[in-house]
Amino acid sequence: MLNISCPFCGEREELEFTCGGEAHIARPLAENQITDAEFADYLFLRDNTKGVFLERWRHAAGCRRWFNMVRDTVSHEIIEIYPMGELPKSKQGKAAYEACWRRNTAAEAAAMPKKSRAKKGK
Amino acid sequence: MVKLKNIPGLSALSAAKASASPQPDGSKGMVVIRDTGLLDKINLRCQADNPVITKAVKRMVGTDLPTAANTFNQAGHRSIIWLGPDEWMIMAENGASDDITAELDTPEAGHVAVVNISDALGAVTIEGPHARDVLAKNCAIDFHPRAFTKGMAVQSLLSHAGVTILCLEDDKMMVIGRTSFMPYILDLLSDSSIEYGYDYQAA
Repeated sequence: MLNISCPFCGEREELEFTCGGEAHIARPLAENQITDAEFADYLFLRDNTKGVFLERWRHAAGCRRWFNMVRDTVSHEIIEIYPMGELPKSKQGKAAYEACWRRNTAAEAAAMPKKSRAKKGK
Repeated sequence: MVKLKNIPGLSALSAAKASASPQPDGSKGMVVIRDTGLLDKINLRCQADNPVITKAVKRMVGTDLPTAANTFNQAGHRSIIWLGPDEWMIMAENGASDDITAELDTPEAGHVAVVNISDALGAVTIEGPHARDVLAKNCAIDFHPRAFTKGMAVQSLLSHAGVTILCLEDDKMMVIGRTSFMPYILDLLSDSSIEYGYDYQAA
């Protein structure tokens, strides 16, 4: 069993938590501008990574708050825990975030506000 | 705001009769489990620095809003428990919730949710030199007197039931659980207490 450090309550056993699956799947804001296949990337496709994985967790039996975790699915090592809405800061977490196929999908591009999309284009 | 008439209700453990098991040799003392009876409970969600709420809590509960994780503040019969970075639970004597809710749930307070959850939760106290041992049997929280000190409140699992456990005194805890889980929690606690001897006192 994992011992997970809830960012609010402190270290608790895994039983108190529920895993919310892959993190950083942004809902396309302009879903009418992408194709069904591109929308399906957002809606249906989930990674099942062997290695460093970014996932969401919720302290269900405690403070009931969501947070993100960088976890190695092979060794179960918890590399980093960081708040919702933020990106990982650890080297492995950053690398896993950048390496994810999702970063280059039309669904993710359509999830960003127009301003930052323009920046990314430059 | 519509004020609901306070109807006399039944404790979550009203069906449980007083029971006991004798204290065997080797036990440092009986475990005394008591139904707290009817207590009013109010769930409060707001930002911790909301000036209207902090003042109203001070006025109605008599203490500050606890901002440290896993703690509660108590003044007389009323207490306020930290449940999350923007969530608290106020506990007060039966019948007090209308007045407290009216003070907190005002337009001036802004973005705030105040919900009366008195009947959603029940509570028992468990005391005696073995109270910590009994809780530790079904919960992974560290109940050592150095780790779980007076004024702490943890939300965790007691076997299958989600509970909030308050440390009222060094050898006195309060276990708050869902109303429908209270008979289960009572059975769990009394069963775990047999090796120390226990006395359950109904409200």
